[in-house]
Amino acid sequence: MTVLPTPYRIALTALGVILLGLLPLVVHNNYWLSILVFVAIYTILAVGLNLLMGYAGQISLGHAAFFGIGAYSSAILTTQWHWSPWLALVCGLLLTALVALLIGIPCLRLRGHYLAMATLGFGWIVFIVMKQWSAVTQGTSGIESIPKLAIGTLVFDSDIRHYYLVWGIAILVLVISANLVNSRIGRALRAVHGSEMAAAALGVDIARSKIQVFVLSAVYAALAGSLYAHVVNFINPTTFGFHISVSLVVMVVIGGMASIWGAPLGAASITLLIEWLRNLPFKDIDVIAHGLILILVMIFMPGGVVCGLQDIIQRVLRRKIRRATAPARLPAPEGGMQ
Amino acid sequence: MTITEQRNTGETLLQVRGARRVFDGLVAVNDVSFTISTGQIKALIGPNGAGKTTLLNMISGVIPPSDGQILLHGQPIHGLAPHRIAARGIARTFQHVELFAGMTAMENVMVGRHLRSRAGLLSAALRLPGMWREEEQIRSDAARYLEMVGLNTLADEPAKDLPFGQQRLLEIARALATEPTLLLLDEAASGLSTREKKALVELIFAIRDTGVTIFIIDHDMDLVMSISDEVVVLDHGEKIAEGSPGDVQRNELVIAAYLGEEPVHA
Amino acid sequence: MGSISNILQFLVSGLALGSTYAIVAIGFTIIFSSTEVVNFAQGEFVMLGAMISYWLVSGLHWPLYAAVPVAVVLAMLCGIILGWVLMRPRNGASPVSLIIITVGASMLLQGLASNLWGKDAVSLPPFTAGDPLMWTLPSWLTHTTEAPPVVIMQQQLWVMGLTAALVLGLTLFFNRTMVGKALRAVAVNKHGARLVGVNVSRLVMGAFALSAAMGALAGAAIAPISCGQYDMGSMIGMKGFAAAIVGGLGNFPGSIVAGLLLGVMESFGAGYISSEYKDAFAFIILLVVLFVSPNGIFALLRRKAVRE
Repeated sequence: MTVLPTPYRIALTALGVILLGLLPLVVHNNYWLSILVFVAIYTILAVGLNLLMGYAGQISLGHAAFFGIGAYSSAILTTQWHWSPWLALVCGLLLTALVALLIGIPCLRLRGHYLAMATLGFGWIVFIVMKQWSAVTQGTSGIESIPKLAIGTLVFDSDIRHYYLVWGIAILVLVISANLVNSRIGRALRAVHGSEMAAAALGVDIARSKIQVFVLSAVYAALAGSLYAHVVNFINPTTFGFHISVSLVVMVVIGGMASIWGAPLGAASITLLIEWLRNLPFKDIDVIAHGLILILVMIFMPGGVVCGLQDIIQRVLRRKIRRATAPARLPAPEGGMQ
Repeated sequence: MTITEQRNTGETLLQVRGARRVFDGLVAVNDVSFTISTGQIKALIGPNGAGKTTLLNMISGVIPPSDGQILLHGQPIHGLAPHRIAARGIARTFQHVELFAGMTAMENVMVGRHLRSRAGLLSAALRLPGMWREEEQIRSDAARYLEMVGLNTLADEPAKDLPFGQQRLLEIARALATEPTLLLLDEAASGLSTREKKALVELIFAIRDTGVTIFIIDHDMDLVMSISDEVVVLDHGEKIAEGSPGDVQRNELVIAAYLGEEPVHA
Repeated sequence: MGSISNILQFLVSGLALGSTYAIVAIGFTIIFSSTEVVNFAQGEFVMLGAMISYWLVSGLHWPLYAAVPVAVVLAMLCGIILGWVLMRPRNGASPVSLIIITVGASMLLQGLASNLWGKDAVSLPPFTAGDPLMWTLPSWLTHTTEAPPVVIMQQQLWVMGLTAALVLGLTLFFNRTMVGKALRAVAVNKHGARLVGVNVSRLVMGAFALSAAMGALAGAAIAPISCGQYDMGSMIGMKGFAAAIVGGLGNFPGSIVAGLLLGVMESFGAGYISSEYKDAFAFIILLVVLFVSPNGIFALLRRKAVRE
């Protein structure tokens, strides 16, 4: 759904990037900076899932598994085998791509609920392996002392440096994804979502498209996972459980699936929400409130916040245009056009 | 020779040999054989439930035949996946319009250019220069097809907002964008007003004049008889007649099959 | 490898475990077939049954035979509320939205549970006190005179017995009562059912109430064996889903058989393959079934039968 024409979008994007770049100069509080780093990490995750759910029309209830595979690859390769972090990261991406390919081929033959269940089952299996395969993953105690990322002598070891690194990568990912969406491939994907039969009749290889976007979204998740590992320097299985898979889906849905830019919005909303809830008085009221908020948002804004806002803006604009062009002396019609 | 006779002795484009399709014990199509010649407009008619769409689905690859063969330019295509059959030059429209609802009319037709373009994941992601040129080409090509069906002014309208008649036209434009040799029209005229049907007839002739062979299913007898060079009649999954429109209309089996069914006049 | 008594031991614990999965699967099936909703909060009903019973017994010192029914009723109320909430969204919400709502409900219930009753595991007294049954197998079967007897806890018999009774009751309910038949009607064709006068929304809430009640009963029954905890619902819920899918979504007898099967396979898997990964077995079976025959193993068997 495009509300604004391209030159405006580019301008807005540039503005957003500049603001993001200047933010750390204003926000000196490290706590908030680190929160924003997490927003960037979840943005990368959310964009991938957005491509899968919003554009290709598939669903994955187990995406935290790919997040975890990326994180654990980086962690294990750098702590136990002393690989360079960047090499480990690339290796993690390749490994995740392979796993996604293997699991995607049978899964993507399924539809709707069945696909959801299959990805759910896969997510749980990976989670259980993370917990139980202590020899490799150190089980529930997790892996610690994961080294920092570095380019030459520049070591990313402070919140500000993390911020620029991760947001830089996140923006790159966003731009690449936006490019993908507005291309032959992106159109083919959206066609698959719109009508598989028609897309196939126009020469689009349905199965291949679905798997491509599935693997891509998994690779994004692995990237986010590696970044997470090197930023937090400690990982354990709880970070990659079912509740994270659900949070990711919620981020995508709340951000609005119609646009890539919903991903950072959704990631920011949920991350900030969870942080705010964590600071509330009662223990575990964050879980209760989180649940309540999910329920309420899904009831009242099922298209996501971005879509909801866009709808409101469009309705307001249309009313203004109609009032401006309506013949004089006739009252403008009330009620939005649908 | 009349033009029709000339067309009917053209080379064989599509050959259906003994096509048969069974669904869980129910025989939907039984031993149907016919050929479509290059440059023809051939029609497939029959009472409801005769198996027409099933046959079309077998030709376009949506379902494989349980038995029999389908040959395009002498090469077997039965059992191939739909996207492969599309790549070989067969395009189609659908009985229940299958537009890409979330996209504009222009974007729908641009998807039709999928087979005639190449940009892959990498060049799209990185916006390589070759991709820009190709995108421009795709867009202008799509515009041409929209113009051909008369929808050029509605290019940026969301496809789902178009009135039904124009949605049918959009589907045709989209199918044409693949530059097919054979165009399958599944009930392209149903739901259209008289005026729209007249326009559709003009369009079909125009398409034929560009060299595309057309195979059309429809219920509207007048329409079918007025545009077709040849007609195949199906009843309960079996072919009961084939020939020129005049011959078929006089065929006793055909008349009997339609008895009890109101022949639809425009 | 397994001696007969080992095998039978695994079988017994597997059946008891599987009975719980079967009940969750049935509850899930009832809701899914009448509403097309995947209820991710199903496991939480089991947890509520266990935890509310515990609270009434330990905190308020109620006798068990009073606590369990009340727990079941309270869980039913939660189910009804959830059913009502799910019908709130206007414009017919997308399946993803509904899934997220049930997940939200599940989080809500888990959060409430951890606030009310803490995060530690708690134990419930068994329905009948007493020593477990020792079933000494005849020596011609075990080929030795020193084979350990098969230990069957009384509570395990309770679980299996309750499940059998529930299945019987539900079968009668669906086939003999108007409400049951109405539920089946809604499952087959919602609009048709409405046309003949069935009040669909009330029935949906009824479906939720029924599923919640069954789950709660199962929870109270299984807690004496495997302890109650605020998050016990997650695993049980997931495995119940797996069972429902393996048996075929919407297939009532399929859910039962699949649930029992899953429980038995998990028990054997834990015993012979690895107890660390026992939780993974249900999901592995789920994936295998989905890849081979998404409509469940019974659909697969039926298809094979038709071909022959």
